[in-house]
Amino acid sequence: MALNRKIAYIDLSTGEVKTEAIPLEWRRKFIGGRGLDAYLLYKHCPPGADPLGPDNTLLISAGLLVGTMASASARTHVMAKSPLTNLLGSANMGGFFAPEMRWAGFDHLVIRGRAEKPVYLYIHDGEIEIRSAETVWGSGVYDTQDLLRRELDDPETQVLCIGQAGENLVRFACVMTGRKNAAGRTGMGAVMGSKNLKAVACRGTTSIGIKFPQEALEYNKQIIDQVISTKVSQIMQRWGTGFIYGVTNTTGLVRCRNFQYNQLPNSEDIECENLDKYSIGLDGCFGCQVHCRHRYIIKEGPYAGTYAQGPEYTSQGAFGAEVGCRSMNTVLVGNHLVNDYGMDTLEVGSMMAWAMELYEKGLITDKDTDGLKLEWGNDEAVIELVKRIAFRKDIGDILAEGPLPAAKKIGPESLQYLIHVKGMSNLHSDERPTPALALNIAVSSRGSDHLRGRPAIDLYNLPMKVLDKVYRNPDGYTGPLTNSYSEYDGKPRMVMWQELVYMAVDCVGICKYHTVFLSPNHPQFKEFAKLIYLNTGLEFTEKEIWDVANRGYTVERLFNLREGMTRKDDWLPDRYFDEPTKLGLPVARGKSIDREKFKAMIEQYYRLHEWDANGVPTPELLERLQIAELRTAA
Amino acid sequence: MKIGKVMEGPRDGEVRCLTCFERFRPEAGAERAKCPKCGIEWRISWPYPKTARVRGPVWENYPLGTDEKI
Repeated sequence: MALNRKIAYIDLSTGEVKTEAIPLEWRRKFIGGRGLDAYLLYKHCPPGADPLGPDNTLLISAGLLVGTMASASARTHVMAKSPLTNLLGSANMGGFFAPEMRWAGFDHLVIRGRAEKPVYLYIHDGEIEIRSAETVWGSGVYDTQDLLRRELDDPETQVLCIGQAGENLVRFACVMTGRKNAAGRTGMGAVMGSKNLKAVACRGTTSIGIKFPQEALEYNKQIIDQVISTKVSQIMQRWGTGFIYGVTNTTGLVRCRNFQYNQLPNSEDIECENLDKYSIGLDGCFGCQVHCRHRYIIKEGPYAGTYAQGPEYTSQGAFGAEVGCRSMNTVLVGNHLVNDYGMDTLEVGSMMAWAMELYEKGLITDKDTDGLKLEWGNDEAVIELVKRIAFRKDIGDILAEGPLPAAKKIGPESLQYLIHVKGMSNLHSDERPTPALALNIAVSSRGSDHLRGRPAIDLYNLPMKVLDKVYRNPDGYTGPLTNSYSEYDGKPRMVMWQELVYMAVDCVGICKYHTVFLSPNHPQFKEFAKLIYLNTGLEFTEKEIWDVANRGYTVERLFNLREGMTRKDDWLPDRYFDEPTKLGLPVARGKSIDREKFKAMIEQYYRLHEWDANGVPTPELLERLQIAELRTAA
Repeated sequence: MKIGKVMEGPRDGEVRCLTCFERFRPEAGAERAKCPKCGIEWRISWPYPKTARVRGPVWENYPLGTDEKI
C-alpha cells in the first residue's frame, strides 16, 4: 500500500534507529514530502540550533505519490535548518532515489546527531544500517555512487550523496543523486557533511500497492497528454530548461556581470540550440515522459571526453551571463564541476559574479586571489574559482561561506553589491522589469528563489480569461489580476497561489515542470486530488489540497519566524530600487522596482496569506489550519 | 496518444514576437523572420520540423542598441 511506508528516526551519535508508521492524521494534514518535512523539522530541530551542529535535524523524504503510476513522481526532498541563511533549508531533486526509498519501505528519514567517523546509510527492504564511509570520503559525487554500488554489489542501488564541497562544509553544498540531480539550494550538503554522513544508499523490492491500478493508469495517460501537448514541454523534450535563456536574455531579464546589466549581447554560443553539438541524447527522471536533461560529452580543453548531464538554465547564467562568459564549453565544464563537487550552481555563479564585481571595483585584489584575474569573461579564472570554492582555497574559502559571512570578511562596502535575500543569492534572473517575480524572491520561504513561488507564466502575457481560470480557484478569489508583467496590481495573488501549488506538488513528490510553473494548462490542485485518490485511496477535494499546501507553507513561515526572521527580511537589495536596467527590449529597459508600490505589494501579500502586518500568521489562521500548537513559539 | 512524440496542433509553426506578443508564422525552416506587426527581426530555431521558436534577436539589428560594450 502506498500509505504504509514508514518514517525512520536515525541518531548518528548513538547509532540508534527507530521506525514508526506515519499517522493517517499527518497524511490528511500534510500529505507527505516537503509539507510533512516542514512539520517534522519544526518539531525536532531545537530553536536556535547550530545548522552545522549535531542538533540540526536533516530530513530526507519522498512525496506521497513517488514511485506510483503518477507521471514524474520522482522527487526527493531534503530539509534542515540552513547553514547558508540560518533559516529554513529546503531543496528538492529528481532522479531515481526517492522511488527506491519508497520501495525500500520509507517515506521520511529524520536524521540527528553526528557520527564519529564518516558513515553512510544503507536502506534495503525495511532495514537501515549505518556503515563506514571511509572508503568513499574524499570522493566526488560520480565516484561515490559508483563505489558504493560496487561495494554493495548491486548496480540497481540508488545513492544520494555529497561531494567534496559538502565534506568541506561549503555553506551552499548540495545533496546529489545521479550525475546532475541536485537538492541544490540552502546548503543541505553541508548539513550532511557536518554529520559525517557521506551518502544514503537505497535498494527496495517491496511493491507499492496502487489502490485503483487500472483507473490510475488510464488517468496517468491523460496527465501525460496534458503535459506533453503543451509547446513548452515539447521544447523541454528537445533542449531542456536551457531554452529559457534565449527568451530571457533577448528580453533583458538575466543578470549580467553580477547586477550591472540585464542582458549579455552576442551570447549565441550558450543558447540551448548549441547543445546539439555536445549532446549524445536526452534522459529523464523516474516515470517522466519529458526527458529534459541532456547527456553530453565535453569536447575541448582539459576536461575533453568527460561525460556529464545538463546543463540547466541556471548553469547558463552561473557560467555565462553572470560572469560575462560566452562559451558553451565553459558552461559545460562549470556545470560538470559543480555537480561532481556537489555545489549549488546558482550560488556558485552568484558568488563568483559578486567577487568579480568587487575585483573590478578594487575591493579585492590579486593579493586576495593569489594572482587569479577575476575579470569578466575570463573563462579559465571562472573554472579555477569553482575549484577553489569547493576546496576552500584562498578567496574560495571566503566565498564558500556564502553571501553575508563573506561580505563580513571582505568589508562593509562589499555588501551593497550582493544580490541576495535572507542570505541566499538570487537565480541569474533580473526581476527589475517584473514586479511579480521580484515579490516572489523577496518573500520566498527559503530566501531568494524561483522554485518556491515564481509566477513564471506572468511572462507570457496570457489572456485574462486564462488568468481567471488559473488564479481564482480553488478558493474563489475575487481580487485584482493583471496580465502585463510590468504591472504591480494583482501580482501578490499570483505569487501566493504559485507558492501553494509548488508546495502541493512538493508534498506529492511530482516535478514542478508538471505543474503551472511553465504552462497554465499543466496539472494543479484538481489533478493532484484525483491522482492521490486513484493511487492511494485517500480522498481530498482540490480545496483541501490547497489547505494542505497552505498549512505546510505556514509551518515554514513559523519556522523562519522562530529562528529570527522578521518582516524586514522580506525585502530586496537596494540595487533593485536604485539602479534602473540598462539593456533589453523597451518593456525591460530603464526599469527599477518602485519602493512604495513594492511595500504595498508585500502588505497585500501578507493579507492574502492571513498574516499580520509583521508577516506573522494570525491566530485565526493557525486555528483554522489546525496547527495552533505551533503558535506559542512563533 | 504517442508518448514522447510531438503532438500536432493548430499553432504549429507559429511564434510570438517578444516585443509586441503578436503571433506569426515564419516560413518553414527559416532561420530569421520579421514580426509583421512591429517589424522586429528574430532568429528562429526549429526544435521539430513543424515547431518554431524565437531563438533570440538579430543582435546587429537589435531594437535598441547600447552604447556600452560588454
